[in-house]
Amino acid sequence: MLPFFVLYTIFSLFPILNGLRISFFNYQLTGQSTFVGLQNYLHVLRDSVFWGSMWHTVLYVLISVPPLVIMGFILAIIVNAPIKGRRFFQVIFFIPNILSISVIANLWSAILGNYGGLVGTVLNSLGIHQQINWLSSYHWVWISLDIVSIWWESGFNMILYLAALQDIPDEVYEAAIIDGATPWQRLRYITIPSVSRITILVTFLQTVNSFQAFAHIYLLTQGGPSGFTTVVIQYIYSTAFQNFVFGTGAAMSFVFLVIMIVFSVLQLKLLTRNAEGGA
Amino acid sequence: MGVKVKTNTKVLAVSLSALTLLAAVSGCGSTSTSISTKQTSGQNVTTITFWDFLTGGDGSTMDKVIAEFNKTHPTIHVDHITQGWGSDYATKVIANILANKGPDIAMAHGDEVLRWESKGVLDSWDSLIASSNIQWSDFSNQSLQDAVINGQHYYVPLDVNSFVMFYNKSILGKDGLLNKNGTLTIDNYNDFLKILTTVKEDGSVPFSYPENGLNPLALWYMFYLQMGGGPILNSAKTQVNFTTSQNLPIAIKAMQDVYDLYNTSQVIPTNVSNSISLFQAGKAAITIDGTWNVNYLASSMGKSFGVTSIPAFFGDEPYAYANAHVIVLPKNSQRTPAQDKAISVFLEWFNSHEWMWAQSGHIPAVTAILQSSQYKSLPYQKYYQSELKYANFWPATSSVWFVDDSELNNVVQGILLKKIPVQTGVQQMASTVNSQLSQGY
Repeated sequence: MLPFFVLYTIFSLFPILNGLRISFFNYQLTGQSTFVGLQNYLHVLRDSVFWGSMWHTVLYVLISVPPLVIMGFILAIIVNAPIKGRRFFQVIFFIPNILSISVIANLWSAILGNYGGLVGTVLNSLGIHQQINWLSSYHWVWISLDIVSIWWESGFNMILYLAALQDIPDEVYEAAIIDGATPWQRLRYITIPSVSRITILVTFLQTVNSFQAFAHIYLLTQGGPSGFTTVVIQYIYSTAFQNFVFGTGAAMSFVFLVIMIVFSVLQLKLLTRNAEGGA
Repeated sequence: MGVKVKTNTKVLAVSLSALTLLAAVSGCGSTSTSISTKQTSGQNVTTITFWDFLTGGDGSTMDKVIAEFNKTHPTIHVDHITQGWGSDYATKVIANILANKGPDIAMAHGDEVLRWESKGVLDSWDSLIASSNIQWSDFSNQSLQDAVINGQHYYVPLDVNSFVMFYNKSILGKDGLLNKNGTLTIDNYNDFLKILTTVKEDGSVPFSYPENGLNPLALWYMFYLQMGGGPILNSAKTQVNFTTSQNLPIAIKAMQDVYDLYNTSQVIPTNVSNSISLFQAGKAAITIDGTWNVNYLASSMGKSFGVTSIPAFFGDEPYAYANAHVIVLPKNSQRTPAQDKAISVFLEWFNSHEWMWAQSGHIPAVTAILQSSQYKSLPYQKYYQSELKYANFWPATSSVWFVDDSELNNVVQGILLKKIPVQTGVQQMASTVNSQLSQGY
């Protein structure tokens, strides 16, 4: 326990507390930093770009979490079914998850890119000649990012659901079949309630994960068009590490932390209540 | 078997969730460290590390220049590493200097040196240059304009790189839009529009230009200056100056004319993701971009390639957006006198061989080079060398760096994508920059 605690203190606790300290300073990399009280926080609260980015993050959570949870569940059902080559499908569905973010971004840039991307070329050959800007038009960009996320992240949720599905005793299904339950009824009244605890876990983890989304969005759209997909982490990154305004950047991080805690607590309460009610 | 599969999957699931939780708690950041080893290979060889951001067409020219230097100087080795471009480059260099892992010399844009210097990461060049054969008077005034901070020189300029106009002789020639001598002349904005409209009717892309990043902002800046707009920041550089009663109508008119190219005459197609690639592929008649593309485009496009200086779209003064590539001296307590000497030898050699660097397309900073036979024999540089006189840099500030200000670029893109009306957008550009300046950004 002690080695863990030492490492945790050095690499997590100390940076977090130091970040909190920095958020009260006009922090300079070299030279004198001056204490400014709550000024950085007041600036953040009044900064419309910060709240715009915050909304983009929340939007991304809202549009990515439900499909990612549902898709994870569906994929788990598929690879849990007694079909030939299920191992193969498990691997295929999971593999995108282990690719690095830059590989994902390059791949999907090639697929969705303007003027010569794979999707554009295929549509063109099917007679649809209109140029659709998947990653740079207001209409499509979030949908495109959502598709990339589903492709990339569903496999992880599939593994969690798969473990839960394999915990359901076969006897339950056998009894249901004898009682004449249809496949839909078995899914609705046995499978879904049996994995409800995993659904809470998956939803919670996925929400935390989606809140932290930054790299693949940044690499695919650079936060564009015109800041339309700038998420809050990107804004914190550019404030602190590109413009070197560390005090404000740190203050943004803590405002974001508070919002995330509130969101998570509410979500956990809601989900556990639903799960208890539904089980 | 079934039980084993089950257990394995469970173990995997538990491990994965633990990993995710750990990543969530610890912030899940990946760090990349670039390690530059300063080592002397063999006896009496002094190594100096040199970082740059030349990811464009001029990178290969720099590689050749450095290779030539290393070949002709057996006792000095310049370890040349190209890092990323823009703000990410600055982040990387500054962080490395602070961690005492910085390069011995680094390239920067002239207008960002004040920002770097204000972070306390740079040494002044004065004592090192004083003991060398380099004189500050060797360089053009334009290239040195942001070098002096608090009476000390903080950069040695390599060039002035300006925006120029590239054109495709095949496309324009086919439409009869070139002069008798086969070059392009544009008299004014309306003439420009007429040429582009003719190309459009013929089915080619008239003007390959992006709607994101620096380019639209630079086009606005050029239009604004040519229309007679004053400096975009006040003299104390604490606030924008383009919203004064005198400048605001000009700023709005300039933006309206940029907007019209995208949305009214539609001579710029929507969502050009790489304007240089589109032009290089021979699909577009005209593009405007930096001199770093000259050699790259000329060598890949052959006879259809043409380049000229930025025309006077408005008024008589063809002001062009420009910048300077410069060398800064990072603070480094470990730099040895031998390395200091090697740095001066390198810079002296570079200055006298700047015509080699000019092959990339840039206008040399050393004025004597402009008169050299080697420079004069370069095929394309004569078409835009006159731009030096009209070169306009962004104002250098210790906070805002206009070359890569994503929040400002976002506002401009919002205007061009019709999300923000032109007039409101110009005000929003002003408030964005003012907020950044007030933040000590």
